[in-house]
Amino acid sequence: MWSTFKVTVKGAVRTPSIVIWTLVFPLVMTTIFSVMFKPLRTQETSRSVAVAVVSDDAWSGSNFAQVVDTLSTQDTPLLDLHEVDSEAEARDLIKSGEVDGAYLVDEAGDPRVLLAPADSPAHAGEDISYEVNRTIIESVASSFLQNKELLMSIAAENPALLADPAAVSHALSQGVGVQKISLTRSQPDQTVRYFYAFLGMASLFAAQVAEGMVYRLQPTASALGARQSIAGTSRLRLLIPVVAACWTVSTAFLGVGFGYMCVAGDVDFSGRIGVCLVSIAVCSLFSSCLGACIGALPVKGGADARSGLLTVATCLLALFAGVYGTPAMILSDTITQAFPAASWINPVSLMRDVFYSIYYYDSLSPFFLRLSVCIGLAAVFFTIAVALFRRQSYDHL
Amino acid sequence: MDIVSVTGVVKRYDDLLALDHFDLHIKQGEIFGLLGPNGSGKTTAINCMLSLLNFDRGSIALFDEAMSATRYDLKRRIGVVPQQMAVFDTLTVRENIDYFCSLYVNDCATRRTMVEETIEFVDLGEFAKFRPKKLSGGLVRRLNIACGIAHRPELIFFDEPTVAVDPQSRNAILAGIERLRDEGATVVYTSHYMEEIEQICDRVMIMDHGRVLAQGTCDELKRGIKTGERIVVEIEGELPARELDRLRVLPHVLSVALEGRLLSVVCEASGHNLTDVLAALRAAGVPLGRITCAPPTLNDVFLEITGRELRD
Repeated sequence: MWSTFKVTVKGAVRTPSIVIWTLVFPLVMTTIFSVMFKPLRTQETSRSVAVAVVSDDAWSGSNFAQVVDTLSTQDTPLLDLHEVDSEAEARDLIKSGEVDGAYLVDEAGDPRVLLAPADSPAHAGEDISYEVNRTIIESVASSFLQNKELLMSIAAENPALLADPAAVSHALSQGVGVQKISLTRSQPDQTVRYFYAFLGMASLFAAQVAEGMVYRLQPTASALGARQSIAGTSRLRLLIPVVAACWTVSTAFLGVGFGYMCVAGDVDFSGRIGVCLVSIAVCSLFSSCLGACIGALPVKGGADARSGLLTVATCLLALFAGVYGTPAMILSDTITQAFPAASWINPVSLMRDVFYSIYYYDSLSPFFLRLSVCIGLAAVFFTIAVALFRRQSYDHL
Repeated sequence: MDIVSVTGVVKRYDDLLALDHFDLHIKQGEIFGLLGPNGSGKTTAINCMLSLLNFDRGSIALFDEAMSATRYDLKRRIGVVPQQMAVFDTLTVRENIDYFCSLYVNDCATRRTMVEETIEFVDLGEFAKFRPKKLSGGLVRRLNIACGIAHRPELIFFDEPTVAVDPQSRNAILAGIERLRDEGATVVYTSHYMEEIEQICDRVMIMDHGRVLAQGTCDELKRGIKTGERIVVEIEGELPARELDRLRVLPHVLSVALEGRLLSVVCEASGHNLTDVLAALRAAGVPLGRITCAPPTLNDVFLEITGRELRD
């Protein structure tokens, strides 16, 4: 069995089509995903908001200027100040896209805000976070005005209260407490789910590899299959190492692809790298057993028929798993609502959910549940493959 | 003891009767030739003997034991060299031989020795690290043979191993098979090349349409037919039809045919056929060119039994 295993592994790694689909393709797709998702990922990076300030006499010494200075000099500055001498200069900077807005202070010491239109081409083309920056610039000014109004109101109604700093602070806080909590064990990264989905899809390639390898073992496939079939080794001792070799190769190749995602693609799997590797191994096993089952099917048409059957089955199952966009997702949801077991028996759905359960749940229970189902179905497919493959004699070759 | 004993095997492919009450008995240490045209049932017979094909009636015993698909103990004593190339393109020569040997021999050290000896036997030493696609057709044939004999089988089936092989490689293959026989192996050799069968086989079976037409040694088969010798004479002038008729009535002449300038006279075994034919032609005043006289071939045997020639 060890010889058959070694030979199958050697054969797989020396077959260009297998290497391309199970190793090169994931690497290429990871690279493409990384480039595609770069803007989305930079959006989530904290960055100072560029804002111009008209540094005239009114600005100097105003309370708002002190607030803005504080916000621009803290450890993680919220604002990146660009001092200008006039409103016209500030508008020029906004128009050029160098800053997202500008602050002025009127004679009364109240702030005024200048913003570019929401559809400003100078800003939209540069960074899709412009909307957020506009909101920040407006919020700073409006918060200042609200607090100023509040203090003036206190001064008018109960001036003694101003002597108590704790009371003033309490009034300004308005009794509202904000506590930052996380619903997930790590900061969500909406791009990671695409990588999980891709890992699930790439795992399915193992099915194609196993289907081809197992089919070639059949005496009806080729003289090579016949030669192995009439050897002094039982059929089971041929099938087991071949499936094991397909599993090993696909797991190794996908593992390399996963490593590339982590290192070169800079994808953050939230410290669940080990869990991801287990998923890759189990999903590859599941796919290998599925492929072995298809490869052992007694259907006419040779390798092309089986490969076509597997491709069509995979595409159809992927459609029902909703991986082709919104309409397919609606179809998938409808099917799942009507027949909840569908997502558990559809291999594509199941493998997708194995990876998604790593991402969406803090607890690993849903993950292990799906993983167990994967292993169970792999055992079923392998048993069917064994039953079909044990056939020894044929009416035709 | 018969190494191979096939009795009354019937094999049908739907309406086609591939083996029709086929009987075969092969003794230890002989090279047994299965001769027949393409489609005569040679490969089907081998596949039935190997339990790769089901058959409808009859029985097959190898090494005096009933053969079945799960008799791995018997299978381990058998080597098969299929007609088609059955090697891995992704493995080197040495890896291929080692793998197929491993299907029969588990011990690595023993196997290593067997592989090296086999590489030497088929003279592929300098190509041991080559993959099949880098080898010529003749060398791949040798590799195909090596994969079937590396585990030192007692019974070896060669199914048309010299198809599409150059004469030099063919001679090397035939010499190798004789060496295997000399080392104690029993060989079943199928071919539709009668010259090869005549060259190496101790006994021969002629079959067609799944039936056994004749069997015995080459000499026995040739003696069993009327044809004793074939005289071919190159005619360098005109040969009138009446002279052809005179030849036909000569004693021991079985048939006379003129194709172009070649006159072919088939005679029964007799001591004076050539002198009688030449005397008749000289009497007719016909100028003669080259003259050949050949004993009967297996093709003559096949021709006389079936009324048609062995076809490629």
